[in-house]
Amino acid sequence: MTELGKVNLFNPILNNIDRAETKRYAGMKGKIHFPESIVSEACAIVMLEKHVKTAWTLYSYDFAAGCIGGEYKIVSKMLRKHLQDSKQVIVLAATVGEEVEHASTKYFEKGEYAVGLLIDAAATAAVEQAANALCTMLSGQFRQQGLNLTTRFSPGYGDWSLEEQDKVVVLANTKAIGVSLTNSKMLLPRKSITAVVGLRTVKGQNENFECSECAKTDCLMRRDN
Amino acid sequence: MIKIFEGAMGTSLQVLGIADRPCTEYASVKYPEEVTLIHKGYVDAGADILECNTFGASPLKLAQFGLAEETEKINIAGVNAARRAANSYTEIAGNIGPSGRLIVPLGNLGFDEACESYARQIKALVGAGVDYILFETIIDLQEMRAGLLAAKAVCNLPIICQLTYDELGRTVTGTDPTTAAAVLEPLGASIIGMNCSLGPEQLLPLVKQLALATTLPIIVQPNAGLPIIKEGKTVFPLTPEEMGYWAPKLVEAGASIVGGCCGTTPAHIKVISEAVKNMNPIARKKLPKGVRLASRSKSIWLGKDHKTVLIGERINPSGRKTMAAEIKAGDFTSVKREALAQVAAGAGVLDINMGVPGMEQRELMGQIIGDLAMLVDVPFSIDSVEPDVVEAGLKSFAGRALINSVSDKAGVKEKIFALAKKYGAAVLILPLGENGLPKTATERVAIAQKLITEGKMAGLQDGDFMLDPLVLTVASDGQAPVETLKTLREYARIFGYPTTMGLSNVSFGLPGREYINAAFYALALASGLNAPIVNPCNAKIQDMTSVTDVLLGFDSQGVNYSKNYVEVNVKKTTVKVAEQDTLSALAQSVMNGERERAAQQALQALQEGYGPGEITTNALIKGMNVVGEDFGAGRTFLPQVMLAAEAMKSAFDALKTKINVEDLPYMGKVILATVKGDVHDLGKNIVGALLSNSGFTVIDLGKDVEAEVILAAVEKEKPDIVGLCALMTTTLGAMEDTIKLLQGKNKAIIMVGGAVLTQEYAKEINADIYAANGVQAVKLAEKAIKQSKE
Repeated sequence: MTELGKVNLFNPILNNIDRAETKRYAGMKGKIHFPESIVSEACAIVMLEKHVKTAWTLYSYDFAAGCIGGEYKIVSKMLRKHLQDSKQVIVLAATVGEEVEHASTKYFEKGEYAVGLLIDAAATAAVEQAANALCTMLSGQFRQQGLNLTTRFSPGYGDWSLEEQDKVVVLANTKAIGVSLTNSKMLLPRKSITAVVGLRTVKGQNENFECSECAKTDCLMRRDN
Repeated sequence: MIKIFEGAMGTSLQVLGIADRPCTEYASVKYPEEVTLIHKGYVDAGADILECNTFGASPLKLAQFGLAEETEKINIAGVNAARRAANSYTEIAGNIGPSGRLIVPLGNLGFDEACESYARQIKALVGAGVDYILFETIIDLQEMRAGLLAAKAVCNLPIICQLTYDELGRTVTGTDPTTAAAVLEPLGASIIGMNCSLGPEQLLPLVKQLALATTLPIIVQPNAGLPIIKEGKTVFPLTPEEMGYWAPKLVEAGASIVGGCCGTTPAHIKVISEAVKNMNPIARKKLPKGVRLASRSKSIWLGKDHKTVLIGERINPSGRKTMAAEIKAGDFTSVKREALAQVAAGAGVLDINMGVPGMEQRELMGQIIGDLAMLVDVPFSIDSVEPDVVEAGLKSFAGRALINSVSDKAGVKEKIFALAKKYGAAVLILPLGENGLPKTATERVAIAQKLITEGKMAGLQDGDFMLDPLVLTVASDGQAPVETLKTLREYARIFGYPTTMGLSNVSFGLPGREYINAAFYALALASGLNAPIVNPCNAKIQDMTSVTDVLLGFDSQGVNYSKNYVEVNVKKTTVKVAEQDTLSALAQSVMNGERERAAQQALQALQEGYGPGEITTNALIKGMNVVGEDFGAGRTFLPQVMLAAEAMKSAFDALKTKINVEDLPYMGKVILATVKGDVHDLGKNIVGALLSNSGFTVIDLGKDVEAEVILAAVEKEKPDIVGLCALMTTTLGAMEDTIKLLQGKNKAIIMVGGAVLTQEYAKEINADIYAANGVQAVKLAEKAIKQSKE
């Protein structure tokens, strides 16, 4: 059994960076003419520079009060809906470290803008892969107790304000993996994420957060419906 | 006969309500009679082997309940409770579950710490008289290795190793049953298999897979189906009859011991027992011949019946100053780069040598093996003759490694063989005697024979040896390659073990070495070489490997070989461009993002008499404008825009070598910054790149810049435009503050942009220009400068 409120560490193995996601994060859609070698170079650099770490902490969840671990009262209606079947939640954090950012800036300074841009995108893909790897691991672990994981929900999704990040960082114990928060509530290293997943008994319809629910219609990462 | 294992203990204790006082295992101390009664139920149902209630009774796990000090007491009570239920023929397995933590580098538990925790529990179990050590529900291969090593160190009992797999057939840290077999069988497991997580239906294909990968008996203990929750409780849905339906199928797939995990009851075990008890284990297929190596997630075979495997030689600081210096400074960038490049080039195994002069290699080897295993998924060859360095590498590697190498050196060879046996590694035999290099094939075969015999006496087996025929330089001994090839043939005739060798030594001192190496490689493959140690990134080696795969029958009808050819031809295909004048061609190169061509064409245009202004306006900016329009219309995307900017930059850079910078069109000066509190660089960098290639002088103040710093720079530089960037809602305030500070103190036009910004908000905070993206930023900046000059 997992102890409530205690941080657990997991450093997932990433043997590759998802090229398709890298292209998507760089804003490329459909079949376009773009040298694959540049995507390869950016992915290879991120493979070298990434320092992948994740942390997760289990909390009880009071659905009626919308309260995580008796500490954090959820104000986001969408997050409360997301967790409506959950009696426990996991607050997680993942990072690929700050070295990838330096690499991106370095390539911009060298005048290799496309590689610089794609390094940033590949690093985003990598941190998402890290969080996915953690969720896959947790999904296996909690399935043995008959529990299923909801999808990840992060500050900034839908109506869950980024202003709440300071509370999430504490719940996720991000310090354990060297992730801190700036005064303006941004995660450092920048290629880091925090998220909440619910643990619930039903599998049911997936409650994937849909891009169509988001107001930012000109987002580069918006998936085509 | 099929043996029957006991079903679930935790489930039964939960039913009695004594599973959490404070933990399941403590029930053996507090409620021994109830625990015995549960065991008795299983004995009556037909179980041959009982599992003690000691699953979570390792000190690491008990520490969660403050019970680490009672490890011995709890384990002994668990064994006694089972013993009291046993018949005269019932056997007892000391049950050990995961520690609950992951071993470095996946988690923060030290390998030795894990071993110690297990060893303490195992000692208690052995002392109390168990017949088997049973590891179950283990989710990480490295933890299983730690447990198995601990068990081997403290007892001689048979060891059962059960991993837990998901629906995709892998443990949560990525091991499949075939790989598990490749690692655990040589490491000394007596019985291997799987339990928990899945029901019998889902485990069936995994048992089939395992049966093709091991000679050991197979155990399978499924859950009673996939769990569901009913009225707030976890329920496993399969009835005893349903489990009974699947049990014979599991036996037919290769299992010879069947039991049950979560949700199974004596009723389930009874039906399972009746269904399979009188069946016999199936006759299993023989394993392929050769040596099997494995990483955590992949296993490969080496030998004459298998495709040639390239062992990448590049991770070796000897003679490589940069790599050696980096390693000394604690920087593994070159090492990691070489690992990725070699695997991408097709290396099936990576050789790892950490021989940096003046460095303590032991710790280094352990660390680098752990780091590289997080990066690539091929097995490793640990290249050292120092036993303590080899041991550090073997311990750290969550797989089955090759030890490179052992020679006939008394005092060392014994240690290397012992390490290979202890850690389940394969070992490369180098036929070097006490008297140096043996010249003839006959001498080499004799030394190899002696070492193999000694290795076998140390407990190694046929599948554990690889042989090196020794490669000497042809320039100093004309017969050397002949003897090497002869040795290979003799090795194949006498031993049949897989062979390896470093190729390139043969050509030392001669010109055109790559031709000699390639020809020697082909001859060696024909003579029985299976896994050369080479630079897999070398094109000649790649070509020879793919060709010889066809000729030696490993690439039927040259299918893979032909694929390479198609790809090469595709790469060579270029789109023909219609004849056009140089400026149009240059514009086209910018649009295509072709850096080299753009630079050449810019210089050509100068030679043809076009002025810098003309080249800039009618070619570079013209091309960029098309890209910008395409971007605005969604026909082209940001990475392509950046590529076009690169082409433009390379054209400008080329022009600047021939003309004065002042002769290039000048649009104005821009100061760029991401505002205070915002650590995003990318958007600003994109804008900076595009502006600086559109005739603007760009001063980039960086990210997280204080308003006062921006003001000071503005007062000093007197720019035409100040570009401010904020990416988050939380830093928009800082943007507003910066604008307030700048206002009235200078004439610069204020341009803002960033993901969360809108036209309306820009207006509200008194920005002059809002640019939605980098392309627009350039257009609007140009427009604003023109207007201000009018």
